[in-house]
Amino acid sequence: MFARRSSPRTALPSSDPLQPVGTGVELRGIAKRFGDTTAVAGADLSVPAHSRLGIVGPSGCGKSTLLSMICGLTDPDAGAIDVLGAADAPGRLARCAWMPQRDLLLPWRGVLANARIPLENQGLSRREASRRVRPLLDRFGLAEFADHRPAQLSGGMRQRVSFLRTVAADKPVLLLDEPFGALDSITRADLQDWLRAMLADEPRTVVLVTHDVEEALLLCDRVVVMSARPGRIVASVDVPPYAGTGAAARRARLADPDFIALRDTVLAHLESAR
Amino acid sequence: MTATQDAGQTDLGPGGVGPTGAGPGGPGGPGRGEASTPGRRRGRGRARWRALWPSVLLGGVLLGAWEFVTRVLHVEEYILPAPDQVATTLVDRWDSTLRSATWVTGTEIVLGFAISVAAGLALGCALHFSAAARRALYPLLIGSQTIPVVVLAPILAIIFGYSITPKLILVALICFFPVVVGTLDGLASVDPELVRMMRTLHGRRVAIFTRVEFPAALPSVFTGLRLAAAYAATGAVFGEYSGASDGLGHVMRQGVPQLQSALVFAAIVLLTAMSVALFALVSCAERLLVPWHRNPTREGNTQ
Repeated sequence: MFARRSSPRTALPSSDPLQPVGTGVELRGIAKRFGDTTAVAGADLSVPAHSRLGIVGPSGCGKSTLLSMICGLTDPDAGAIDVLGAADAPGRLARCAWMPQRDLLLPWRGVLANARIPLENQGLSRREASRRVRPLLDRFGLAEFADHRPAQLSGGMRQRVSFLRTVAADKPVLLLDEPFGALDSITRADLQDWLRAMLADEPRTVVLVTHDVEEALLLCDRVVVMSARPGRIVASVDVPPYAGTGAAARRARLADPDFIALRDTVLAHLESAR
Repeated sequence: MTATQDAGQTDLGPGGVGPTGAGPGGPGGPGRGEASTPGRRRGRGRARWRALWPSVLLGGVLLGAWEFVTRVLHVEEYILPAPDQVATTLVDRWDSTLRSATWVTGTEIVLGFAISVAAGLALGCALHFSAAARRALYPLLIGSQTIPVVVLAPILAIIFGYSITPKLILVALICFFPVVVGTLDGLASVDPELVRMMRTLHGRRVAIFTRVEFPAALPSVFTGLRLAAAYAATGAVFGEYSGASDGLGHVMRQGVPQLQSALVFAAIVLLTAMSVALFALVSCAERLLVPWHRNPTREGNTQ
């Protein structure tokens, strides 16, 4: 387990038939307009299965629109999207899990009841859904809060419940839209470490949208920069993986001169993209 | 699901810290969450009394002033009966007149209210699902509310006679509108992000409605229900004024020409008590069904 974690990129491919190795998420010539404004203009992206792509860009550059199009909530006006072999919106919707900045927990449901919603939606009884979600609660450090309402939890915990719910949907592709944007910096760093460990244990295809360059570089193995509206991809940077988990490893990584150089490169791209 | 779960079980081998090993209890672990305390319930009861006592005090003062004025100024009972005269009438006429009248009117209010809630919820949900139906029916619905009930009541009495039917129709007509509007507004103002989120979590149309839209609309539905509860008695009285053989409205209509003012006031007291009871019942149901919603009026003067 620790060996796998220290080298997440060489993790053995899963034998799950839903996750064919090689093809991941493919975007070709994606464009989207809202009335007179062009949100996205000609975006091409390729995310191999089990790799993690970070998208950074100025606010309003169409990053979130791109994610809604990938997961099939909206369709692009032009271009083609392929998610693990599915090109139609319902097919993409079946393969993608989407996690927005707001936790979007249902205030009338407790932690466990919120987390089991994807299973209830698939037709499982409440009891069966709870039985299957409970082990996940332990792993997410939420077991003792199973019956707490969202209003009784801190922002970081709510976000973890939201992520747990996303994971419980058991989709091969995770689309994270500023997942930690609303949190204070300490909680955000905690959750970044935690998400990184989690993805090392269970590799998935991830597209992470963020305005935080460091977050993208810490969590992803490739980072692309989008320009201001109309959004297009102006730069792509490969990120070498780093060893270890936890706060110490992250701090070491942040102090690494190579990492600093990488961050400055991305920041320079971002500034010229404005 | 199975993939996630299997991975979770195998990964948590001996000595496995798991992904939450970022720190003791994981990020944002125990202690940061605000836990509910057992003493809170008792505190809430005290808080409710604190919220209630000004209205109780004011009511008492008004009653006292009323009693004082009628006695000092020697106001005739038929012009303005004193509270104690109303109370005496209430007791004296209970067996002969008021008990059966209260029962009749109460039945009309409760049944009419129940009909309007069922019909209002059903129509509100139906209008939510069909934009065409909404465009066709919503203006008509609003238009129907401009017909004065005073005009409608005698017409219904002509059609249905002295039976309970015209009263039920009137109560339902009056209560129906706030229920429909409350339901429709509640469903329309559900956070669209919640619906999008449900769609990515295997949610189909029906699941989204039952698990997200309807629960999220409940606070607004209950606003409509509380308004309806307050109006229900008015509908019953209008119905009885236009033709009835029993009921509190009937008692009032008989009492006014006979200058039995104390009896009329006694009927009003009973009618008010029933309205307040219905309102309290709705608020109770709201507290049970929507405990997660903090209603600003609940802490205030509504009860």
